[in-house]
Amino acid sequence: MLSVAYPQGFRVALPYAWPLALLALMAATALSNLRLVAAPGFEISLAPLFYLLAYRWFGVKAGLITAVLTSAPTIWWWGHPVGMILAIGNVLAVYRFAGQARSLSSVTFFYQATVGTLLGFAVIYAQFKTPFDVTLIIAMRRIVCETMLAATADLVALALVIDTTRRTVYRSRHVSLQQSLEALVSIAVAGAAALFMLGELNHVNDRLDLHHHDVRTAVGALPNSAQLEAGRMYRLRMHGVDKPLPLAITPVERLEATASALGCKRIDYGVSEPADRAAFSYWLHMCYVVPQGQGLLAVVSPQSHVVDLYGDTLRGALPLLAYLAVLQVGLFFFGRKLRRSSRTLNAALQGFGQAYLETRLTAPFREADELLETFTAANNEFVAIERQRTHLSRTVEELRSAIDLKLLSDIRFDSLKRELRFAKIDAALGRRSASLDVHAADIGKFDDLTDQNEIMVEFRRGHGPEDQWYLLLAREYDGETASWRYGCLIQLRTAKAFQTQMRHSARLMELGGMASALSHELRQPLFTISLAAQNAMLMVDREQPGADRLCAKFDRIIEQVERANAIVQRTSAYARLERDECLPTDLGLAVRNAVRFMRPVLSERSISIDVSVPPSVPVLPLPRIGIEQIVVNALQNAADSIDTRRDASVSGPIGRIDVTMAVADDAVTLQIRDDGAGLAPQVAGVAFNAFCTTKPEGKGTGLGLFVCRQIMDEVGGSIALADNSDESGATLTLRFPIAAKV
Amino acid sequence: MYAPEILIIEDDDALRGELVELLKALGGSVVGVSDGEGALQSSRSRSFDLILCDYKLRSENGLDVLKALASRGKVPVSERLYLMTAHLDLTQAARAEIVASTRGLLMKPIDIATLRELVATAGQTPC
Repeated sequence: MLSVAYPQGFRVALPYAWPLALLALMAATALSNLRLVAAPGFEISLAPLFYLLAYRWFGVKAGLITAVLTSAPTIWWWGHPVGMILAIGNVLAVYRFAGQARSLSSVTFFYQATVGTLLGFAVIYAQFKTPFDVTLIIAMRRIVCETMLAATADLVALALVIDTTRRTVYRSRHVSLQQSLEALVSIAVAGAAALFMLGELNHVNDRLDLHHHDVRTAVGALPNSAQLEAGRMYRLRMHGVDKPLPLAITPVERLEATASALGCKRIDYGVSEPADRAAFSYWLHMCYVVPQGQGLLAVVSPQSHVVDLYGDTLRGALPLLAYLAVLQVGLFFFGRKLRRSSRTLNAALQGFGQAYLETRLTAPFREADELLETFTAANNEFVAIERQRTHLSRTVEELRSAIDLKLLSDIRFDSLKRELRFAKIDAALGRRSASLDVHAADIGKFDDLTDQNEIMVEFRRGHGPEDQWYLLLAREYDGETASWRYGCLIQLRTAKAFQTQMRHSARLMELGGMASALSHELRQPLFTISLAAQNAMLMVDREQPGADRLCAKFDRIIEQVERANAIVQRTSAYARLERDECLPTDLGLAVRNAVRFMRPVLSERSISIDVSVPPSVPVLPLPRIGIEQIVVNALQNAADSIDTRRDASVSGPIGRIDVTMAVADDAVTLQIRDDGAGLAPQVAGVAFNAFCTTKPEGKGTGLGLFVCRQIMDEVGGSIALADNSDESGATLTLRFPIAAKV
Repeated sequence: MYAPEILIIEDDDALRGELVELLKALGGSVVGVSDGEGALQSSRSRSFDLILCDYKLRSENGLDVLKALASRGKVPVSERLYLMTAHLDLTQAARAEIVASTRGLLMKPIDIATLRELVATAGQTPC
């Protein structure tokens, strides 16, 4: 695991913060006051290190104050405030451009390469008229040194953090990748350039000493030295050197004036070494002196040679500087891409799990890209799981509210008060006695239940919505207290999905029935029409005028009958028979399903239904949906028949349907008996015919019983409808043979 | 020319009328009745070469009529009787029973060529 956490950590508390800061500032100013001359023309001021660190640690104000203080000595050194102006500018530049991401060294590099160089040129070149090459070397030296010092400040600030609020210094645990990379590259390349320049410039002195020697030798070797006149200017041409050096012969007392005339401000005897030999300006403004005897001196100005020497150094260091520039530009773009990568990653992580990502997030770096790919996959997986979880919890919630189950104990039916008494068991509220009054139509259901160890009753409340049914399950009948020890009460709701499915299959079945009935009902008359046309054609007297046209008409009738027949044939592909798969079906379950479906309809019309199914019914190969449909249809017809009888205002309680199932050796018989109006005399023989209905216009299709008979034919069973013998109403009897039909 | 004796059992009056008329025109000696009872009465006095019976009569079906007529005539009724139906959706079982116990099942509307063929071959092939 990648961890750079230090359990204790390097942490030093700083007491006396203010005096300490002041002391540090004084020390920094003192150190910056040291004019470190590494080589002629290579002066180093430590000021940038201090003011950049001050900026990093304590902010821009501290940076500016330190910049002013530490760069103050340069005014004395160089006689102009350019050093201080550039230092202030540097702090402002890093304040503006070097945030948490970009390093001091990069910003400093770009700042010195542009503003620093321009200002340096403007001032030094204009004020001191230094040759171009030398000015450029000074600018290069500045860029290289300042960048190197800024990189050092970067590294120190990356390693050590000063917490001003808690007044502690500690080692940083997390460093910026981009900052460290920029600082390391800067310090490496700028350092190399600085070392190169240092080495080159260090040789300048030696080479000038050598040159001095050459000049003396050359002057001494002049063939006509005796003829040279004092006070005249000559040109000393040296072996292997293109440019001749200015030469003058002068008496000792006029040395100063002659040197000045040659453009020299200093005289170098080649022996003593004045301190300012370490500066560019010394070498640019000095003359060699070669004694000629007889009180005469030869004065030679090597300025052009010195400029050449510096030019060599410059040309040697330029590629390194260019390399540094290219690297800095590269780092600049690298940094941008790095920041984009980390921004994308950051945004991605913050948005984790909030939305499904259709397109994968991308970042410029492959490493970040791979992370994002993994992230996108994880995110999408999480979102999918989250959606599933939400869906599940919603479903569970729906289920919980749909079932509404209550646990009961000591359940007793009070037939006098017509109420069910029990004790509710509730985890939160404990045991509480309660009662439910039972609907008058359902009281009979409880009468014959006493003494049964296990009961299951569906009933409605005496008050409340008519279609609200309850299911009571109770066990362990106690004869002494005439109560069941425990059980539960479930509020029944007809599931919407179940109703939809039932309606859908009923619709399909009706459609199938319609197709098959239509096919029969139309084919019969079509046959008659075709025969009649044929007969008519035979009756036509061929001798009569117009007989041909008459025959053509009959032919057309026959032809159109064939066409209609073809259409009917196509339609009957939708006929429902032999489509519904026969699966092992629990007839009891099918009946209960159908009753459950119809219960709300029946309750609404105040019709009570009693279902009596033996505990064990053989499982038969039947089209389950078809059978449910038969029962639904039968219940519907029974309810309609009850309504008819009620409309006829017959007195007395009407509205009861009994569904009974009986199992014999060879067949299961299901009877659905109602106390409605019974069969109308005109339908007695044709109730199962297609389009036979006694219901009002638009209410019945006349296909219900037709379809029922088709289904029963299919399973090899029988269906019969008869009036009740003992009372008003009718009974539909379905017989399902147990032995498989051949 | 021999006129084959033909019995039509069909409860749809209009259809029966037209069918009788056409088969007569095609050269048959045709009797039309509306149910099994009528068929039984007719077959007491004469023997039919061809019997065309509707499969779904008002209160009985063609196979019941077949059983009632089974003992009449020299050639078994099953060799002479065709059932007619407009129901395309007979169950596989019903179809199998018809094919096994009758001469064949004719789908309504029966085309004229088939009827002509039936009249022409009736009585000639006491199989």
